[in-house]
Amino acid sequence: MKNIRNFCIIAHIDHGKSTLADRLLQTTGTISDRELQEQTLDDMDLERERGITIKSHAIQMDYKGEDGQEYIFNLIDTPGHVDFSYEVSRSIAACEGALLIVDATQGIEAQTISNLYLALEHDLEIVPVLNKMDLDSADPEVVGEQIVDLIGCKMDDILPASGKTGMGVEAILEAIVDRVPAPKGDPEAPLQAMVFDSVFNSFRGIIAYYRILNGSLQKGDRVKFMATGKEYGADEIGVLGMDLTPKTNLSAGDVGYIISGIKNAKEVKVGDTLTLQANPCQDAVQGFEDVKPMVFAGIYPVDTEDYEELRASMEKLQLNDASLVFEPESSAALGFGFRCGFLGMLHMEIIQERLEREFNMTVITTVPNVGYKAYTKKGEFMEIMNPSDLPEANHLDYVEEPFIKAQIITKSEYVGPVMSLCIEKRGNLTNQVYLTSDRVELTFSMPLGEIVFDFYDKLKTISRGYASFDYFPDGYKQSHLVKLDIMLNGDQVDALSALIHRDHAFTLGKKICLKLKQLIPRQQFLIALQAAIGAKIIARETISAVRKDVTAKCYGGDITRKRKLLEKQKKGKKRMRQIGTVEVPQSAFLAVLKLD
Amino acid sequence: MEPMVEAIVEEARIRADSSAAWGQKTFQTLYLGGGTPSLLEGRQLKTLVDGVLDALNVGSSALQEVTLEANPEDIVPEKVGAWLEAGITRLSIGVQSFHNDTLHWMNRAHDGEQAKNGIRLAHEMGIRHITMDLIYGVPTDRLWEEDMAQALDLPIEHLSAYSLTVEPNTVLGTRVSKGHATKPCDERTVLEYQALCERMLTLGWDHYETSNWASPLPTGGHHHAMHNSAYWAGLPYLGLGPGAHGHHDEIRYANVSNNPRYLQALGKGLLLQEEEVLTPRDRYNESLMTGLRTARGIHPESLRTNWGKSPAEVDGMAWKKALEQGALIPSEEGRYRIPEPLWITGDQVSASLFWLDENATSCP
Ligand SMILES: Nc1nc2c(ncn2[C@@H]2O[C@H](COP(=O)(O)OP(=O)(O)OP(=O)(O)O)[C@@H](O)[C@H]2O)c(=O)[nH]1
Ligand SMILES: [Mg+2]
Repeated sequence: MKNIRNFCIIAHIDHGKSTLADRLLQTTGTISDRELQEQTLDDMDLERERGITIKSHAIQMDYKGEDGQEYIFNLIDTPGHVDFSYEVSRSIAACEGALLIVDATQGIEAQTISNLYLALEHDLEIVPVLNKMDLDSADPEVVGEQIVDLIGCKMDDILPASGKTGMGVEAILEAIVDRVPAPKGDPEAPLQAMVFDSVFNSFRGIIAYYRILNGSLQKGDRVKFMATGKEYGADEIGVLGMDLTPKTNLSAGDVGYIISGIKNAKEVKVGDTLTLQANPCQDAVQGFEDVKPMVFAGIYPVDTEDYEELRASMEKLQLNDASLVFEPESSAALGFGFRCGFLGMLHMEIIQERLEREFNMTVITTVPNVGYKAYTKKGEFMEIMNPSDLPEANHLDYVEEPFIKAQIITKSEYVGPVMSLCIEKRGNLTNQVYLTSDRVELTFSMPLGEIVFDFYDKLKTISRGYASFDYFPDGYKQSHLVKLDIMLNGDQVDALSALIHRDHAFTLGKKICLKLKQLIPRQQFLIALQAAIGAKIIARETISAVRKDVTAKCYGGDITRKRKLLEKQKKGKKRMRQIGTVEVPQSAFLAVLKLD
Repeated sequence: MEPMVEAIVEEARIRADSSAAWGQKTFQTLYLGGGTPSLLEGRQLKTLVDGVLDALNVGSSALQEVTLEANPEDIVPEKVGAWLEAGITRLSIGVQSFHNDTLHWMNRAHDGEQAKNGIRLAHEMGIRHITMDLIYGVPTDRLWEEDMAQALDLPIEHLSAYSLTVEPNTVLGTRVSKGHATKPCDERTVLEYQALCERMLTLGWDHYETSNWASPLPTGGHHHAMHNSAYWAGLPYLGLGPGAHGHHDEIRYANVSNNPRYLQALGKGLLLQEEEVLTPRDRYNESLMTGLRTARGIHPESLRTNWGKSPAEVDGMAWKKALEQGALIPSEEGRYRIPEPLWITGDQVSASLFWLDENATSCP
């Protein structure tokens, strides 16, 4: 056990965690040069395409130290995006140390700080790494100072490195040996292991990943999950190499997997404690809080007939992404579908894309919203996850909306624009700290709902990319919200309704109508677009009918080109949903998110 | 021009020799078009026609239709004489309009009188089969009624009418995008098309393809364009010359369109072309698309026999919807067509029935 090191790699998004992990895998010979790709651990198609990590990834490496001893390293690469910070928390719980990566060209950013705090809460040993040192724009002095200020280490403790060139990798490996403590725990005690992740494999069922704190586990043991109370046989146990590597015995300090014929995802709870049926441990380890969805939206099949298939697909997807929550709902406009909760906007996008790629489902996502609390005049309380469920104005007493504490780190020259943006988004500045002479941390209290509507892109634009953003839930506050309805040819489309602040209603209504006019293609008939609050129409636009859609000439040389054009035309149509007589493209539902 | 004629004849020779596909076929029509073959001198044209027919081993009497595309300004007695001598039986004349301001607006070199005189001359000299093009939806102050009337006053047996399309990277496209020319408006385009449909109907012409009308034959039937009809029926065609396309079996090729590169390649006895291998799905879509532009329409059973699926199997919902909305109506022998009034939005109907690759991931 004294030669085991369990650590995770944490950082702000894109600071180079997965690339540095590649170098560690390569240097320790865990992976052959032939198997190596860029960001090898990002093995999901979507991760590779978008170049971001979505899920934490654990892997075991063997390392022969300079002291001549053999070490076992369990590394967990984590995502940097704020939507997936719960992945970071789980990984941290399985480790004694963390490599804190900071991009030497960017410096400390919002998730550098929030992920560092998560690690410190768990008493992890922090090994700071200054990455991307190969770049000319790297500024090790200034960024080094920032790190020293932040974690109170010495300048010498910071390891300069480059995931690109491999510089500094040996020093990092040695620092892991020297600085990250070996796991503590009693191999003789009853088994106590913490489940920190689970994945679904269609052949093998649920595979649970755990970290053994005390005791040991043999293949074939009867095991028990303490929170669910369920018992199983340990059909296969092992460690997480590039592939699953079966073992007969694992003990305190080890990170491993177990396969026990579990098919139902609900039976394995991340954060649960795994123990032996015959000789259970006394105490469960402290689990995790359930991840709370921040954003809600309806997901509907484009073809109403595909509802059951969509349900089956979502259930399967949930096996691999427990943070997805959904329940059936119905919409007057879209028929039967599901109200889903997401961790944020990126998460929502990813779920939609995975449904399409992995399950071949074409879906429509409705206008996203946050969760509200409504109080009626009779004193009833309702949780509102869909704007359409808001009680009628005459019954409604007041509405509360979720607020967040938003932390933005930016260069001092962008403080002005960032402040105006946040104020426009109904934010209140609560704190302002100069991290260095030209780096400022601004803290705002803001409605979460405003973040959903085109906040992140705007922030990036106004700061030319020099602003990072993180947020935490910060309770509910009463707000003057109104329900903005959109009507197509006089029929209200519930899936396009949104709750917005009274003061913004008129301008937003106008902008949404204009935007929809651009997004909804002309059809055989005229379409009247209206925005309304209650019975009051606040904006209107008209989409004139298609009069002509035919290519004039079609002879020998035109046929291929024309065929391709029509193919494209139909592909575009496939993503449209018929509402009444009007065909509405997916982009229209997200129109409210990006209004200029 | 001489080297171009030689190169085209050479291409015909290479294609005939190198591909069994053409050896087996009986050629029925010849069409000299695309660009301005009427620019050729009479002698050159004859060399071209004779050379190509010889290379393909076709006797000139075997052809049922030999069409030449001509600019109105090229129709002069000497040329017409030479065309007849070369075996031309049909002229397709790019008149577009008789209204001079409109012709000027479209950058055309001829005027209305020239066009009328040319057509009469060619007809008098013995070219019996004449078709002409008109353009509708032009945002000038010409009166469409007048253009139609003038066209129908001429000895033509066939008419093609195209809506004005503004393509990027053309003179007109650039002028429109820079705001120097007005964009054609859909409302006007549609009204003019409808007016033409109505007028031709009363005259007994057959509107047999979206943009084509054929006059009645005294013996019954109509003067359909044979060559073009072959494209819509999906029959094989051999294309020669820069930018020409050809099609046989599952192959479609497109010659390089740059003249010097074309000449250079053929100088070395080489074909510079892009070849496309059409899948059954591609061919299904093409049959559907060209078929629905014709009055004959499509035959679901044949689509199925030929390419593996019927429209109802490809996209049952779309098929049902098209029938319910009347965008498709039954015609003879189990066929279905788009009714004439809906041809103006016919691409929507065709596209909705397309067979898409189910395995391709849909683009976000
Ligand atoms: N020049 C240079 N580029 C690097 C280095 N490390 C990573 N990059 C680049 O930075 C980008 C992000 O790298 P990743 O390794 O995916 O970053 P990450 O921290 O894992 O990102 P997330 O998982 O999405 O938070 C990629 O384009 C890498 O090629 C480095 O040391 N030098
Ligand atoms: Mg990563």
